[in-house]
Amino acid sequence: MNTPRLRDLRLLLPAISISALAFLSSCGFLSFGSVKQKYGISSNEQSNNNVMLTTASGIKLLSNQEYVWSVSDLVGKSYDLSLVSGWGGNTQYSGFDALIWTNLDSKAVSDRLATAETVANDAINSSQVMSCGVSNAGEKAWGGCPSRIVTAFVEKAFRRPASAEELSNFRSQYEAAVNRARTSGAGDSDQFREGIREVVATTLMSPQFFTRTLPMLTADEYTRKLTAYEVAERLSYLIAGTLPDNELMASAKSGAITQPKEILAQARRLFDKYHDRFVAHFFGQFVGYKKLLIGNPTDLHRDFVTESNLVFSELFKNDRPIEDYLTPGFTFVNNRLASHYGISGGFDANFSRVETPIRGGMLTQGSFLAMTGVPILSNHPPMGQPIKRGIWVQARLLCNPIQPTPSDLLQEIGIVAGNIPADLPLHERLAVHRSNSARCENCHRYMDPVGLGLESFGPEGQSRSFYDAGQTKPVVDRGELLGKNFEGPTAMSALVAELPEFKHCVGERIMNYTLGQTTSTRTNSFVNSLIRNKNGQSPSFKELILRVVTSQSFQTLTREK
Amino acid sequence: MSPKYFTRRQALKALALTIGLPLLESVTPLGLLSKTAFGAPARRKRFIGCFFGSGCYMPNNQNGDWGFNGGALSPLEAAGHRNNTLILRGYRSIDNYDPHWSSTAGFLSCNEIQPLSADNVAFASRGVGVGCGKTFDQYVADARNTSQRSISVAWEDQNFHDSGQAREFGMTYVNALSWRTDNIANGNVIDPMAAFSRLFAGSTNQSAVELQQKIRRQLSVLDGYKKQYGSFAKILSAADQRALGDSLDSFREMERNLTALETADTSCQLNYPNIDGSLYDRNFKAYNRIIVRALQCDTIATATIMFHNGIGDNRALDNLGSLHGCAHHFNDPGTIERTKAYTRIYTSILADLVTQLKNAGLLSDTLILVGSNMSDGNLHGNANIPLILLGEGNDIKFGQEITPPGDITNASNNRQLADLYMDLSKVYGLNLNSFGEQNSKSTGASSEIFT
Repeated sequence: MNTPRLRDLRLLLPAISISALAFLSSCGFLSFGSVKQKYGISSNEQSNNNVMLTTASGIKLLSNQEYVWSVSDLVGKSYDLSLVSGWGGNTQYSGFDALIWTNLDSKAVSDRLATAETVANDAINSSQVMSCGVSNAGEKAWGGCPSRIVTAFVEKAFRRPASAEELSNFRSQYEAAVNRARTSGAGDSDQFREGIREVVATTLMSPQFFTRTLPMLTADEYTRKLTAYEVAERLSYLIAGTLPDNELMASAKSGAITQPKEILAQARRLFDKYHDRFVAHFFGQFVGYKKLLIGNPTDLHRDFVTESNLVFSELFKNDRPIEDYLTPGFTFVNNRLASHYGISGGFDANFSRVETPIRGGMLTQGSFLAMTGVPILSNHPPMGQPIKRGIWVQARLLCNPIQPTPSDLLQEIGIVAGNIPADLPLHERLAVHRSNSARCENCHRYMDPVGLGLESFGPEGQSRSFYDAGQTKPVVDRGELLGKNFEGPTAMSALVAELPEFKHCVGERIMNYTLGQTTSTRTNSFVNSLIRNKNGQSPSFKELILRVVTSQSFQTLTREK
Repeated sequence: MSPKYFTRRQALKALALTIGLPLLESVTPLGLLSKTAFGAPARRKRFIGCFFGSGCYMPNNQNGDWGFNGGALSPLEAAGHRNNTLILRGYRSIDNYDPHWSSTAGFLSCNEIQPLSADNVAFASRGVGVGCGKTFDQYVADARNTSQRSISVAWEDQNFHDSGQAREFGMTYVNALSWRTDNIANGNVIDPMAAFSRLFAGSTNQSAVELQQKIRRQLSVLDGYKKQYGSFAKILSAADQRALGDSLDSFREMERNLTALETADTSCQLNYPNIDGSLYDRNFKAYNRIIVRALQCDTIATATIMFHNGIGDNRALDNLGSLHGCAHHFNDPGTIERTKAYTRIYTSILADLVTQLKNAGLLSDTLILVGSNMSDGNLHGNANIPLILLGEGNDIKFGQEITPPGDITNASNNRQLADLYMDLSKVYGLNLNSFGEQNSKSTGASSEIFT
């Protein structure tokens, strides 16, 4: 009797599964199939939070921005990026700074040496650094004031107490500098200051300061928990982009930071303390609009960046799900921006919130539109704008980067472009181009129909219905994405927000940012576990980052057996 | 009073001196330097690599604007340097990725750039991070062993690329022309005063004593770095030790530079060159003077000059608009004219460089190679890139144009840049077995540059 019943049960389970799949399909989850195939997702509510990433690399440079914030905190002086203006740019990955190790050349060493000298000169005039002073030969001896200053400074700079060997090295250096200053006739106080100055400069030139390093596993280790100081450093640079503050260092000293509750509490505290900095830094890279502030930005471009920061700040503060960043339903404008966007109402130079479904999303903010806009230089709207915007959406929101065009194909494109009738409407010209060959179609089908959806925004993000002043060339902003048609930027934003590809891509880029992990097929399971829904809703950006910092991957180094 | 005849004693003294002293290259008559027996190329001592991104107006990879007679090279002709210019036709650029990236990093190395992805294990031997290949100028620097290794200068560094295409590629590939090793790119100095300080020991408002103190302090800091590095390296993995170890060489190089400055010959100095004109023109002409004087002082033997990396905006030439935007001219006549104007700015600065070298008496032992990463930027063409070699002497076909047989607008008919470097290596006495790698590796074919 038991055997047939068991057999019935075995038949029943697949039947239920098939029915459930059919139900899901009928409810509009059909498109999920492609994501499932691509990423191997088994459930949208997957709850496994223990998926481990193998650690890719143990060493990276502080980015230029991280360096500037770190020395600011060390010295108690607010520097800006002009401190490192002669330095080379950071290597980027997925839009984020300095995720990959880049070797230093002698020019970089020279630049860093000059900057270290500048900061060291400020340090010896900083009451934060010079916590005590000397007035006679006895006081300048290492054991008293100098040792206290150096020990405290190095501990903050290295994000951990210095080892005996490191301190011994600094002591030798201090004494050598003091002797040199004495030989050149300096008094006791100046000898002491010279000694501190040199130690400060050497600290800033030490790899313990300018790199973030997780000492890797030994030959017989496969996994290692990070020390409390390493966790504190990782957390601090992730959220604040700088050295751990006193509270976090205290938590590291006591070892509390390795406990899940404490790391969560510290992360939330840091998010509150550094809210504005984090929003501008993270979203400035996620979207890329930090670029608009390089060089001599126009007032309009500054306004664009302010708008983006204010919108994202509001969403981040209120833990809104990631989809809301595409369709927030509001924006912030001042009188200049309102006029530029054609938003009516009484505005002044200050930014105020406006409820609107048309503006404020990642794809409808002036910052993104200006970054990807192409001005009309001839009588015809440029084909480049929808292409550029389409490439960006694919790469940055759907993590489908389109590879650069091989030069032989570019030559073909040149010939094709020359044969497209210039007086055709833009969307028809793009269609003619795509129909030229499979090679054209293979890439441009991902770009053009997406970028066309944003054509009702000009190169500087202004709304437009026509390309020309005479209103003879109407804008067509109908597009298509993954088989779904839409019309206009609002509908397009809503469509992107619904896509599982968008959600996965946000998870992927959060992984890139938080763990410095480049994307590969091996990282999919981690991303899948990261982006799981909570109470039927997508996580917020903050929730995603909190999930990372409380994950094993954040606190553990692992390699494959 | 000069003697009419040598005495026997004088002749014997002269003979003894000749046997006792090695031949000093620097006192060799120019005629002997530029022409050696049996038709072998003359030995040269100095090399300058110049580069401009995004090509010039060369529609369909034809010669287009890249020539004399009113073309882009006219400023060289106007300055009297036509006979110092060898036009090299029919070379293809390195093209294993977007040529903006691969053909900039690969211009002087003929190596292929590689993605940064951790999955890219095939090139793990290059070490950690960004990698391309050691460049020709650095081989020359090795051979000369001057007090400072070399200098690379440019207009700007590109920090961002927002199209999303560069997910796996570093900006280093478009910012650096010179690579000291396979994985250390020589960053560009983007401020003439910084170049001046580096090569001529500081700004003019420092006294000699202050300068010496500064150098000693910096040397002491570098010494401190080495000690802290020693403590730190113990806790690193082998891969991370290697990454930091590569950079340690750069610290050593900086130490050597500072030591050289400390003991520099005070007779070989330069006042900071103040030049009139637009900021762009001023910067590059200042670079020209700084580099030429540093070559003359034997402070360096090689330099690279990047006029523009070819992407992004251009801050100084606002009237011409973005260079990249101009290069993609879509056959618009106005945009083509602006592209041509850009190229003429570069060749005018080049003409000034050649003039400076001539005036300093250095052109006969210097070669300047000038080129781009593509022919016509509109199509990103990698065939028949703009390329010239500048110098003086009868051993190389200066004043001529070398065009290989066949259709040079087709990259598959083109010459390898690496073959040119192999021939240039003979001029510098470098013992290279081959140059470049993979599809861009030297083939053994002659560049035909020698007379």
